[in-house]
Amino acid sequence: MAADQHQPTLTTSRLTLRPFDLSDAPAVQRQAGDRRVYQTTLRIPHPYKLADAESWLAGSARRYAEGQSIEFAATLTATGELVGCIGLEITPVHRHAELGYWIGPDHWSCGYATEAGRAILDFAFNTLGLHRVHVHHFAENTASARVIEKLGFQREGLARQHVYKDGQPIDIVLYGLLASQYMPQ
Amino acid sequence: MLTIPVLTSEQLILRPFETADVALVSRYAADPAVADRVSRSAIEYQSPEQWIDQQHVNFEEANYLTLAITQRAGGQLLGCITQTHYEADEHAELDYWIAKPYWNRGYATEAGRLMLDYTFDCWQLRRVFACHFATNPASGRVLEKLGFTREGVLRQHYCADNVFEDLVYWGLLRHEWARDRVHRRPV
Ligand SMILES: CC(C)(COP(=O)(O)OP(=O)(O)OC[C@H]1O[C@@H](n2cnc3c(N)ncnc32)[C@H](O)[C@@H]1OP(=O)(O)O)[C@@H](O)C(=O)NCCC(=O)NCCS
Ligand SMILES: CC(C)(COP(=O)(O)OP(=O)(O)OC[C@H]1O[C@@H](n2cnc3c(N)ncnc32)[C@H](O)[C@@H]1OP(=O)(O)O)[C@@H](O)C(=O)NCCC(=O)NCCS
Repeated sequence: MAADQHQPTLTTSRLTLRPFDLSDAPAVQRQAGDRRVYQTTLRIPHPYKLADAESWLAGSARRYAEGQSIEFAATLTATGELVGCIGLEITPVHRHAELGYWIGPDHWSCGYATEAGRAILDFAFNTLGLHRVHVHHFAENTASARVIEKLGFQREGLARQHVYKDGQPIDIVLYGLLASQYMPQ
Repeated sequence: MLTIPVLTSEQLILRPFETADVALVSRYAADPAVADRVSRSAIEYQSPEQWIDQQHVNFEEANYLTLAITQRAGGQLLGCITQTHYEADEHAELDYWIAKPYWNRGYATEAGRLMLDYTFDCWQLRRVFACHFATNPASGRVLEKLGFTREGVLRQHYCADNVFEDLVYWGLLRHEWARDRVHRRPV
């Protein structure tokens, strides 16, 4: 991704996936700051301060320009409300990326993660030309497991006690999807 | 100052690398029999002196431990073994290579045991993991002999020279290592 290229905006039936803006900080802080989001993710601090949201958002355009990652604000097309975040962390040499996402707890189980996930996979394979996308979740995070399954990923393994969070060892379930097996839904 | 340990077993001495090893290390590691089976980062370094200095710094900071695998009788350099420490997750990743002329004599396995014993004893570890290309079953056999459990295969995860390699993922938990260690120690 060249620095002069602007991050695109993707649309689905209900969502607009657009680049983040600094003005998203309060909405990001409120939703990602919810303990329920913290509990099943690795890189979100808790408590999550407004300054944490601001510094993360301030780096988003740079991370895109450097080709490291691409992060989208998932917003409701009808109202513009921000409901979550979805992104890819890209390793260009291996032509693969890791998918990551969270949805604000007020908006869970409306199908948003799955809807956004489909758009991102289409973008990963058909626009970025990636060879593989992988994703993982904490073994107990059954909602994320369900999203991943609906997106068509294949389970590839379980890394036992691979991470440590709040004094607890956590099993990580690993999944992959290959461009050659990707079927748009 | 912490000094890199010397670990000794029946056939092997694992010791810090010295400047005099570097020419041989470079030659061994450039052999496609080794180079094609390890990740690039494992063998890339700027200068021999830097490579060795970095090993001391990294050991002091408990980031990783790299040791030369040498024959106990005669001192011949055989290969290299590294344990990379991820402190926050209390786990580490094991990597190793043996020069082609010395394959299949049990050296990687014996070196692996020494490294596991040392790091489980001296570092706060709950788990050690390791990965190898699916096209390299000898490495999987080493991990199996070390008591690791095969945990998965990341399909076409690693691209080297336009070939996408499957990556086999293995893990060993502290209690599994402790149980195996009891069995191999004559009381
Ligand atoms: C995981 C997460 C992104 C799901 O978002 P979402 O928008 O609610 O997901 P969707 O609505 O697309 O799909 C959720 C699915 O899980 C199911 N589900 C929800 N809670 C569940 C639970 N506790 N157990 C089992 N299934 C559950 C839903 O019923 C739905 O499946 P269905 O379509 O078959 O009914 C959201 O819960 C979240 O942000 N969690 C915290 C952060 C996180 O875990 N991120 C992912 C890290 S890997
Ligand atoms: C993998 C490697 C370290 C093994 O070193 P080594 O000292 O020969 O290992 P050991 O002798 O302890 O054990 C090798 C085992 O693999 C087995 N083996 C050898 N070739 C094999 C093959 N093609 N298929 C299956 N098993 C094989 C041997 O028979 C032996 O098992 P055994 O004791 O049951 O007979 C060495 O081949 C090497 O350095 N390869 C290149 C670099 C590399 O692959 N590093 C690991 C990256 S993850």
